Amino acid sequence: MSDAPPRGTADGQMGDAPPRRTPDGTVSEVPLLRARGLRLAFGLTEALRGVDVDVCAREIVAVTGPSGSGKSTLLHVLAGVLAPDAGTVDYGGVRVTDLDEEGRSRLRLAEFGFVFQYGQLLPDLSAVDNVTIPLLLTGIRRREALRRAGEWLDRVGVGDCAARLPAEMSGGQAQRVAVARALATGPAVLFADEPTGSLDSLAAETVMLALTGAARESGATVVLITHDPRTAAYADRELTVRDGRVTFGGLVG
Amino acid sequence: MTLTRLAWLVTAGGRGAWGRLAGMAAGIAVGVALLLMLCGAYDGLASRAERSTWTSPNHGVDAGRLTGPATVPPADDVLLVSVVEDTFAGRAITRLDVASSPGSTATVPGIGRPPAIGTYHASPALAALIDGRPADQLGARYGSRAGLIADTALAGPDSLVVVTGTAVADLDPSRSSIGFGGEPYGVWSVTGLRGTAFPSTAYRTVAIIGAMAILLPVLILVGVVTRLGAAERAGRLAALRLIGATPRRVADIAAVEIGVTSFAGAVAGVALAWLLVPVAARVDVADGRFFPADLTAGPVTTVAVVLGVVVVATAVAWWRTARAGIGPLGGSRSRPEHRPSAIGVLPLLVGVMEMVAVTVLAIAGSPLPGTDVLLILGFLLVAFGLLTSGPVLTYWVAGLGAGRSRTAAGVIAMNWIRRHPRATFRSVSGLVAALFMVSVFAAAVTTVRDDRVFAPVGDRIPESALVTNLGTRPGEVARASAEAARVAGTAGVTAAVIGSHHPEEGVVFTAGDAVRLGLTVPDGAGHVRVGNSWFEGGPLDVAATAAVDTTPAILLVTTDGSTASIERARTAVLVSGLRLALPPTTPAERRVSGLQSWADRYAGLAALGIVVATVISAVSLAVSTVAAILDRRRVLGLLRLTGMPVSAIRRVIVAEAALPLATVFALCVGLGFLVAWCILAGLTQGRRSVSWPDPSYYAALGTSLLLAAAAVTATFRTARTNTGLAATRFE
Repeated sequence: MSDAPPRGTADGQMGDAPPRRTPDGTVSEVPLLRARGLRLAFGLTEALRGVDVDVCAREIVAVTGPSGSGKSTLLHVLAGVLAPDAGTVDYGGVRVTDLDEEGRSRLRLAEFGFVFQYGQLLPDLSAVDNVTIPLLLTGIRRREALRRAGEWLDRVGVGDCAARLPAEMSGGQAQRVAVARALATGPAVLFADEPTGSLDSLAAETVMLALTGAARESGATVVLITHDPRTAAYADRELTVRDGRVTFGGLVG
Repeated sequence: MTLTRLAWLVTAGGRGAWGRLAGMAAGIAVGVALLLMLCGAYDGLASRAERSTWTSPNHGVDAGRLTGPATVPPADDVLLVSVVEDTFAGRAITRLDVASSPGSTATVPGIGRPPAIGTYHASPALAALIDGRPADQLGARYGSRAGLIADTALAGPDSLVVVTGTAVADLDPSRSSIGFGGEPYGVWSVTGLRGTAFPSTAYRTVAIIGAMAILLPVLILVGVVTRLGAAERAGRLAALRLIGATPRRVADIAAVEIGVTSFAGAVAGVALAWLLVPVAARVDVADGRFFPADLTAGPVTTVAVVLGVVVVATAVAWWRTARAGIGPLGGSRSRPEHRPSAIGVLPLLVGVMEMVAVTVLAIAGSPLPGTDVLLILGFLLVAFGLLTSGPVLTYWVAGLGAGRSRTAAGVIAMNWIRRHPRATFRSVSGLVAALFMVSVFAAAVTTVRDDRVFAPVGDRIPESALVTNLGTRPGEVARASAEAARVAGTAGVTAAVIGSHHPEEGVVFTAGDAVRLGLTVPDGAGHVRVGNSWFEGGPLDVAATAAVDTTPAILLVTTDGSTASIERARTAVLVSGLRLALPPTTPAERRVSGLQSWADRYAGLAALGIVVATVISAVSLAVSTVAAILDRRRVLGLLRLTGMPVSAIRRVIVAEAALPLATVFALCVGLGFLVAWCILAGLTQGRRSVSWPDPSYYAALGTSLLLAAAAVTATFRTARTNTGLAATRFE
């Protein structure tokens, strides 16, 4: 294991990383999420041009880059939302890119959590009901789901908002509810796409503290898409995407 | 930039917007087409009644019923008219026997000068029927044809009407017709024959209720489609607010969008109605098909409907947008409805209590003055109350369901309904109104249902036998016997016998005639008495009796059972010299006459109305369901992205449609029966009641539910495609 940050190679494929040092000091030798040669085009626009990425267990990886660089597309392919034109994604022992739509949906529901920029909470459901939705989808009984949802809201600091509707909460509170919902099912990987993109700096800090704290506590791996260096600073490692390629990979800070 | 150009830029950008506008215009087109046909049909019902009811001489000019036989020809401006209900192969024929002076100046609608003695004018449909059959089965009843009755004097292309020229002496004031549908009996003196728009209050009431049953779902459809993509529109309008547009400007833009779209839809609706009228005119309802002109709305009505829909839709859009208070961030936040007030249940409770109270007092023998008006008011109050209480009940049930849901789909659906009870109920309110109306009607018609139990075949009068009452006068006995013998010689007739009244009950036949009829005669009897119930389908009751009165009172003709033989026998009876008090009829024809016939005809009309209302409501339900999905497409798309299966979204859709319907389904059916019972028992002081409806009612209920299910299922694909990844993008 090397403490030195990996540097880019000539072809700019910097996604591979050596086993990372994790917050609790454990070392993961085998990447939990591995992508090789990812290519994806939307019409004439090549969003991904041969991307290799390794993400280890319990690691927090920030994917940064300018708008239109392919960050969100990379997240969607890694999470099995989009199927690439070429290349593979492996999660644990599962080749995600070989699964059909239904299989990928099941995998996302069981193993992954998601936090988006805004508008992800069902507006007609209270905070606690919003958090119960993924739990109910995995077959947990309502009473137990409500109990766990309440616990998660407390863990991210919005326990007092449990009965409120999204419209009755601030943006930061709503994002923390979204974090609670994403982590409530105990996902192995949390994908966060610009989770602070619509928040002021104070709210963004609160959300990131809640997100990274809860993720570390539950041992979840985090793939964080952001264009904000302050948000990226919460990660262990940073990958920079530019024009569909990973151009930089290294430890944060 | 003009308001119109601005509205165009804001509302018509992108394929999705075009789809939304096209859907809105299509929905309005369907609504306007149906409204136009409804207006046309309502006017058509009245105008065709006015055009065709001249066959009831009691509505004629200077109408007066003759109290005794006429002996001298009428004055030149007077017609003597007798209306008889004739039958051929189960189809009713309206026959008018008209006597006039040789120089008559009076006219008959659709004919002109009254026909000469021995000649007739027939409607085109009857003329075709006559031409298609041997004369001894039908044509010989009327004489020689002098011409056709013009369409301008007929209800529809299938009307069977004949006007025969008759000698004054052949008009018998004591002769009656078999129907109880308002046909006047006897001979009438008139100076002119004319129709009336609404021959009875029942006719008008059924027409109004039928029109309301369809009008309501149509208006709901128009209301629902104009809300299509409301959230998407709110997002676009919010963007305008962000760059400085005032709330009034935003409301103006929304009004222009809806105004232009609804105008385009309304114009398309006029064209659609023009295409649909010939199709609708082919549907056989009540008294046969309509003439296409009877279903076509006039130019004034057309302009009024188009302008009315456009103006109301535009005004509502303006008011709704202004009231929605869309702010710069308005597009991203959902606006739950105000919690429905329990006061919404009040009209229903008041209506039910009023109807029950009025009915109970009527049954107890102390009816309130104006009981009929009070019952109709109660009926309207219950119908209105059903719609106002729907959102309240839906809210309550959704509240209970939200706490008890065990699935993600249940939690999402119940909470959506709780926050949007009015919008949710609105999507099924058309079906609810249709179900209520059909339940009232189905229960009400059971009161005239013929529930008699008939004797087994072989023990009751043969179905192929014709029976007619005779008005034989003293001194005509021998002639009647001779005529009966002549009828017996008709091909296919197995017996034609005359009976007389028994002083107590029943009909007396000679033993020989009884044997000819196939009856078992007690040994040694010269005459037998057959109980009256046998003639109505009851069991045979034969006993020996002494001949007390031999005046011919009844003619019974048995045949070999073929339609040709029955009609030949009927024709033979009608052209015989027998003095008929009633037309010759088979047992089946007597069963469908009167109130049952009335109920059957209007049941057909009601069933058609309900099917139309249900189809419209199903379309509304589908559009509402799609609208509800589109309003949440991003958040549902994000949930799908996180792994929520499409099946869960389908379950959300089903629950959101099923709950409001299930909430009021039993209520609709139960209230329909209660209201029907109140009206019948209240108006008759308890003499009439209701019973279980016919299977067709359950078929209508099943069809309604199937159409609702089909409408919801049809939205599944839309839900899937609209909650895909594209719905989750932030741009």
